[in-house]
Amino acid sequence: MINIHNYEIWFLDYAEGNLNAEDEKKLMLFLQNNPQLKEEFASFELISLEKEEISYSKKSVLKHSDHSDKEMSEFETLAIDKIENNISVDNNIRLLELLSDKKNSNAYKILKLTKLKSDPEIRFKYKNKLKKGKNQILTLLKSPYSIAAILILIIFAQIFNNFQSKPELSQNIQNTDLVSNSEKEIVNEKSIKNDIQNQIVTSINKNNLEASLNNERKTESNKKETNFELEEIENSTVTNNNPDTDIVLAEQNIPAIERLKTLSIKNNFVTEEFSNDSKLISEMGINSNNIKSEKLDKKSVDNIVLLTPKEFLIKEVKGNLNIDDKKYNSFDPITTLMAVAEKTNLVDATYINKRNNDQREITLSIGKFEFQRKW
Amino acid sequence: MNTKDYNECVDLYSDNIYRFVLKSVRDEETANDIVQDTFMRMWQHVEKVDLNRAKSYLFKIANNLLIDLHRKSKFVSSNPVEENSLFYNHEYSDLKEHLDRALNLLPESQKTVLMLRDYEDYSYDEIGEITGLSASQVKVYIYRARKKMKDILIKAKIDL
Repeated sequence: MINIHNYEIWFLDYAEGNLNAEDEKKLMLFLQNNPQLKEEFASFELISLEKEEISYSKKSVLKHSDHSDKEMSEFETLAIDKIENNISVDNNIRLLELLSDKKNSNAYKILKLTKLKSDPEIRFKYKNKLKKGKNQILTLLKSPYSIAAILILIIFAQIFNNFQSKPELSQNIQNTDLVSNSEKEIVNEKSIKNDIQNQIVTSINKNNLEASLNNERKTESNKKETNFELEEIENSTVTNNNPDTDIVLAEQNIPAIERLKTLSIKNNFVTEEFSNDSKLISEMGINSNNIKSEKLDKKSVDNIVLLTPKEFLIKEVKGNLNIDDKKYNSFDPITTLMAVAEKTNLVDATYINKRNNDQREITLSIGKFEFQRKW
Repeated sequence: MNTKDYNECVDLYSDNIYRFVLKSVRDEETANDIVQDTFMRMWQHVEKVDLNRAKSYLFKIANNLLIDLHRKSKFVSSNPVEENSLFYNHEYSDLKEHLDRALNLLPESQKTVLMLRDYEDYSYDEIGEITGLSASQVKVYIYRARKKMKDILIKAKIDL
């Protein structure tokens, strides 16, 4: 029921046309009884808002699509769809139409360039550092440099052990009556040097010989395993399943006479021999630019008789190897280097492996010769 | 994943991670550090990592490390001065250099998704998993990245 407290609601409902006929009668009766409200009732009728034509001008900014970009044209969208392999058959046809425009065609060529291609030459150099566990050692052994370094360490360890276990070497010299005390010292020193050198050469040769013979046996598996005949070795090819050793073996399979000729012509034995032999350098991890050498006189080099690995093996098995053969022939470059060192009467060989953060430096000094590699 | 699997991951993915990181930071030493850090973090959780998801896991770690680096060093690849200089600089005559330059002018997020898409051939979903974006966001970023690169290359007037 309309009263003095709720009349405004009735006025508003009337203005909006929400009152039925009966309620309108009640309202009119209320106004007759309260004429002071007639003016207010009339003002309600005057209130009305007219729609204004105001629109938001940046609707497009707010819109979204799958790959919305306010500045992306139909052509760009379709072209990128194509590059991304997301294009439908219909859109592909539409794209072909758009590509008839030269400007679009050029733009498409450039868009195709945005498909990045990785550069396989970019490689991570420190994989070995990341590896864990025993595989790290196996990975190390895959590198010829590491093998060379490990071999040197093993050799020196063997020499040290053998030398400690053979005190008779110096005792023999001390017991002789033919030399004076001062002479004893000189002879002793020389004997030790020679002993070290011979042991180096012998141990390497022995290891190589054993390895070669083992491989020989593997390749000749149909032949009898025991009491192998020298003739069989002579007629067989020296093979080795170790790829790292294969390089050296293959390199040394040059006929002995050819190698001798090379050595005879070239005065600078070490530099020429090693800098010309990239595989050997690679095997040793030697950068030829860093090789410091002293010239050997031509005459001394001429007297060296070089053997192929097979010749060396046969002579070794037959027991026909003389001192010079052992000195200047071997299966691996380390032995050759040691032989060169001996040629210059120098036996002090050192191996330094430095590591400073990511920098590594290996220095192999044999007498006056120093081979250095940094990486 | 065991130690052997981990070492295989080093062989298989370290180059990919390195390329991705190097393109982002453009500094070999920093890239090396991030790759090592990435693998170190995976090693710490090696037993929990599924071998089939190892690559994505590595990229996710690397990407997070890159984000940290950018935050710390305010390392922003896109800057207006560089972008303007591209159009007047005749130094970049080689197409590859232009492409590298254009890539480096992209916002980091666009550059990252584009590299993962093109270098590693990841799907939008996979990239989303690595970057923490939704697949549709990834798609939008890739489209914008290609368009921006195209615009940069056109302005640079490269010879095709």
